[in-house]
Amino acid sequence: MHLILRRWKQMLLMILLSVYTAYSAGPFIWVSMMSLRTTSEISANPYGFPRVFRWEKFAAAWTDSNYGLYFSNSVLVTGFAVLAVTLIGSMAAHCLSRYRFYGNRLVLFLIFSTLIFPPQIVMLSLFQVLVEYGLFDSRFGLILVYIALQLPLTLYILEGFFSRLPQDLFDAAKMDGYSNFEIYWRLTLPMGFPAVATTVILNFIHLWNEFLFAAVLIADDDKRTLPLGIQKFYGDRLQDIGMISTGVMISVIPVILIYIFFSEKMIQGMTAGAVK
Amino acid sequence: MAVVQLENVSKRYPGARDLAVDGITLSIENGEFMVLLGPSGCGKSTALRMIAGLESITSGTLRIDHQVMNRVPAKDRDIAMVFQSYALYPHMSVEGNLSFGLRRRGVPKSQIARRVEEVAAMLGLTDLLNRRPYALSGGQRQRVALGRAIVRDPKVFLFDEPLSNLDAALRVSTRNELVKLHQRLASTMIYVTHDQVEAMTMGQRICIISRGKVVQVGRPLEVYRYPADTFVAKFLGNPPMNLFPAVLEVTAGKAAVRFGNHRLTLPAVDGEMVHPYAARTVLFGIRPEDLYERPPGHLKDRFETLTGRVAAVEALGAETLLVMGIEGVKETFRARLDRDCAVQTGETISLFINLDAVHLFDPETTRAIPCKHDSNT
Repeated sequence: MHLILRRWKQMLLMILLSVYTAYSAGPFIWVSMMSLRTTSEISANPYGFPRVFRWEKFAAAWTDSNYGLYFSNSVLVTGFAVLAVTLIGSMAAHCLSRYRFYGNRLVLFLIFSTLIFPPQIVMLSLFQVLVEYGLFDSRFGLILVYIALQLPLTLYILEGFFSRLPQDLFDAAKMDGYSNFEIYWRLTLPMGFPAVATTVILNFIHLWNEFLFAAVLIADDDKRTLPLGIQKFYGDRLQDIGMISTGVMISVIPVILIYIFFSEKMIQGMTAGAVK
Repeated sequence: MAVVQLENVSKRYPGARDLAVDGITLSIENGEFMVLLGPSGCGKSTALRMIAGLESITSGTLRIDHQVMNRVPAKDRDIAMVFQSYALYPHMSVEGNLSFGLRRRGVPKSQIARRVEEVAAMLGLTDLLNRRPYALSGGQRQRVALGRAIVRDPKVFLFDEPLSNLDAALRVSTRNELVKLHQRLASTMIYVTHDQVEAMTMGQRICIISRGKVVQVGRPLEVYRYPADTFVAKFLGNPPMNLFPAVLEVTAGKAAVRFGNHRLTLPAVDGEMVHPYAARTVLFGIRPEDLYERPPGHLKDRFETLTGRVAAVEALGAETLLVMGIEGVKETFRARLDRDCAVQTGETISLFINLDAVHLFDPETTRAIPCKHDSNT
């Protein structure tokens, strides 16, 4: 009786998992199929499997539709922004978690408090500031905005993780003769790598797909990032679904690669400390 | 080897009302194994960290080899520390952990390799050099932590409760290893612990700290036999010393104490020395092991009896602990008797007190009252 009940439970669980998998993966699979079909084929049969795999669409998107340029802009902007926010955030988190100084908690609170404000509120003033400093319609300006956007969350995650690292390790390094920067570089970063990997993944995914600030702060077509580039195919009356799907697939690949590279460390970070 | 001197050293943390360390004056001789003993929160670890340079000194002077070290950074004090949590770098192998400090100091690679090899052989770590800390047992990690300190060849070793994370059996064996290590290296070692067994068995001298202040410094048996105050009397010894109020009587140079329905003469106490306390209440102290079921031969006639009702009997196998109440005395007595003691709970029993082993304390200052010529008090 007990065995039959267990079997039923397992079957129910499998059904639920299958439904959830279909719900989560289904749209992705659909888009990937559409990326290999023409728009007319899709219009004729929206959910159909590609009869002919049109790999040339990717090359066409890359060269004819400027996807190559948008891709490199995205790599540049996202790459530098993630690198900068990781470095700045980890250094700040190290100091805030390790050193006692007047105003420590106040600084942390002030940075965290910016998370309260939705981006739409700061948009207008941000636009004016960038215009005033000649950073409007520049990738550098967008990088700076992205750094400011992601710093609070990065700091929150890293400060929480770093503060759990045993103080004895840092005392031992201090006695061994390491400077504050060396302690950060040789101890905090390697030991905090799971948390750093987590923030890299989260920041990369968010900034790679970021549309609102890019749309407002970038005007020139040559400086567009991928989300803006894909948006080009949305017309008033017509949407080139085929090219949109191809663009989406091009934009997804780096995210998948970053996740594959960093995810093991991220899971380590999530489970670290679960077992003594 | 080095001489370490603390002169009226104090520490107040920012925003704290009380001093964590209050005017500690202590001198640790060249090659000495000094134990700082006290309950949790007494300031012993803070004192150790000030010696290490990990905490600033609010006031007072710290000298190592007669040089003032107050403002010298930790890395320049030539001190190595073994932490309670071992503080092994988790992302480095055992070899990496041992060599980390030497690499920073610019020691040539060949020398680093040689020293790491020597220390690994000394501590039985040779086969573990490529392992990471997570793959080591508690005892192995402890040896790596020790090795990391030894490989630096420092002037002073500091130990901050290094055995507290080990199980009881491992603690005993590691304790013996540390003692042998001290004999081999002959280095100055300062060891912090709250465990009196570690203090009594390892230290050449013990410094007992309570509420940030030094209460007593001396050789282990000296501190045990002649406690300076009631705190030391109760802190050392398990079960702790029996302490209860009694009225001191001094007649014709002879002393006696009266409590409950008992009057005990104290032949070992000099009546003239305790005369200022005559007819006053003092705290009478007697250790549990100085109470006997049968009078031991060596006491001859220097014992009296204490009669009371047994409240509890704890047969531990190697010995029997007795808890008894005495009429007219609020506090219960604890006695450590032979393992074959057949006393039952509820019985009325008379125990023999070793009158040479009594202690007297001032109830207001809690300090020991000097009362014997052949003792430190």
